[in-house]
Order: sequence, then C-alpha cells, then structure tokens
Amino acid sequence: MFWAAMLAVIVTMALAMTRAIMGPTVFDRILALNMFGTKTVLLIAVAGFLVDRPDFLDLALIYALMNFIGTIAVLKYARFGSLGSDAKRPRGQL
Amino acid sequence: MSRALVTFVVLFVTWLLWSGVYEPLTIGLGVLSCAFVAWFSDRIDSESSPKTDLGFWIRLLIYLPWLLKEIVIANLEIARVICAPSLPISPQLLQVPSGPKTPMGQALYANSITLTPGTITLDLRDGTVLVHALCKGSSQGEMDRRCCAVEGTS
Amino acid sequence: MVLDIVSWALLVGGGLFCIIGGVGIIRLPDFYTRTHGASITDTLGAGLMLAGLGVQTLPHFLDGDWLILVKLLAITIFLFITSPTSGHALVKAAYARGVRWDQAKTDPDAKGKE
Repeated sequence: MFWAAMLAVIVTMALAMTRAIMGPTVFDRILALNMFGTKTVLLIAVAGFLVDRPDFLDLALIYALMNFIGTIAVLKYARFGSLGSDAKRPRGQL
Repeated sequence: MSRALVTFVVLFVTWLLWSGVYEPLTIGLGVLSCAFVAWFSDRIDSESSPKTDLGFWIRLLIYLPWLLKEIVIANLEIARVICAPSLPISPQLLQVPSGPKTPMGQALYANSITLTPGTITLDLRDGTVLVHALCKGSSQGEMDRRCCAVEGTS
Repeated sequence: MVLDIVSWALLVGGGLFCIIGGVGIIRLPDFYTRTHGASITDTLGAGLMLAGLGVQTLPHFLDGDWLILVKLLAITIFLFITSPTSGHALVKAAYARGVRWDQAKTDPDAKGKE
C-alpha cells in the first residue's frame, strides 16, 4: 500500500512538473515547484516507511524547511530581480 | 525577555528530541546554539512584536478543530469543482472587512482564509482583506466571528 | 488489522487528493485559480497521507515509535504553517507585478462586492 501512495505522489509530481514547464508566467512555475517540493517531502516520508527506516523523516523535515526558504528566495528574486537588501523597487516590465 | 526564553525552551526540546545522543558535549553544544539563536531572534524587531497572553493560545486550541473541519469541507467542495467536466468555477476578488483588529488576530484570520482551499488572501490593509475566491458563496462570516472570539477583547 | 485498514484508507485518500490537486493545477485557467489546486494538495493531501503514516506507528507506540509520531506531527505542523505563508507571498507578488486573471471566467459583477 506504500507503493500505491508513492505512485500517487509521483503522478502528482509529474503533473506539477508539467505545469512548471508549461508556465506561462514565472509565478506559475514557482507555484508548481513549491508543490513539487511538498510532494518530495511526502515521497521521502513514505519511502522511509517503505524500507522501514524512520530516520528518513529527518530528511523529510529538512527538505520541508529548505523548500520553504527556497520558494521565498526564488520568489523574492522573481519579484525584485535581486536578493540584496537595497532592492526596494520592483523591477520594471518583464 | 520572556519571548527569548520561550524560544530557547522550544528550540532545546526540539534539539533533545531530534539529537538522540545524550552526552555532555552534545547537550552543551545544544544549549549554546539554542541560546545563540534565541538571543539573535530576540533582537529582530522585539518592540513591535505582537503581545499575546495565555488565554489567546487556549482559545486558539479550541478554534483549530473547527478550522480543520472547515478545511476538510472546503477541500471536498473544491475537489468536486475540479473533477467536474465543465469546470464550474467563477473566480472573483472580494473586499472583505476584517473583524479582528490586533496584528495576531489579523494574521490568524488571513492565514485561515489562505489555508482553506478555494479562498486565498491577496492583501490585508486598513482593516479589509482582499480575497481571491474560486467559487461564489464561500462565506467568511463564521470564520470572521470565530477569529474575533479567539482574539478576545484585550 | 483494523489499524492497517484505517491507515490504508488514509494513504489512498491522501494520494487521491494529491492527484486531484495536480489535475487542478493543470486544468484551471489562470494563475490565481491554480493556487487553489495547489492548496488542496498542501492541506488535505499531505495531511491525510502523513496521518496514514502516523497510524502505522501506533501498534508499536510504547516501544519507542512515539518519537516517529512526534516527527510526523512536526512535519505536518510545519507544512500547515508554511503552506499559507508561501501561498500568500506568491499571490501577493503576482498581484503586485500585475499578473491578470482570465477575464472570460471572472464574474465582473463580483469585483469589490461585500
């Protein structure tokens, strides 16, 4: 039954990746990547139970942390065109 | 000061749960790093951080099961909409007056709206929330009332 | 045995909601509506699946599996805190950058109402 759950997660990841490739705006891609990251957390957690190694959950938690920080960082870059602190003004038209 | 202490305790309990190695060296390192992070995060904007009391957290615990129930209901609703072949959506922007007035209450309200599928908060300004809703008739009145109740009168 | 059935049902339900959210993110017409599809996978999809894994640990709860349950709970709480945060950051950034919504599907009367 873990296989079934993993299959569902992988199908969802494929769908999210399709949207990330299709776009059309950069925010669509970030949304899809954020979703992809959340599914990775689930995939790692289920894989940990599948091979009976619960310490995979630590990796899943770390991945959740990094996914959140990464999303915010990419988002800030997409919004301001820079990660620096002096990026007060949004970049002009893309 | 008490905020830093709470941060330290939460961090250290987390450290103990995750580390699994209970030797003086690792525990000492844990105390050091937790204290450093608590001190560091206390310096960030400590004056303007919202004030909460114990009653707020207790009322929050009573509120969360209701929010969970709402999330499940909204999930079923949106899942039905997405699976319907004709895709019966009617997206709209709504300006909803926000009942909660304190920063903590407003944060709770806006996050509750976003967490519930079908509605997402775009902006929160001057006591109104700008909400994007997927379908008509997703009512926020009940949530508004309950968030006010959690916020309390303080 | 009963726990196995409950866990199986939760895992399959979670997987089903994940796929529905994935279908939503493909089918829905514009960016703002797609966030609702992602929101389904992030709340009920992830929640049910982690709950299903949590039920798996219950038979050996006293033998030290409580720590696994705590970790699953921590992941769940973390996802439930970060998901609205990043979702809100996304739509706010898109709104500020002027990403438009599909006018054909948007109800013109509804704007600014209530």
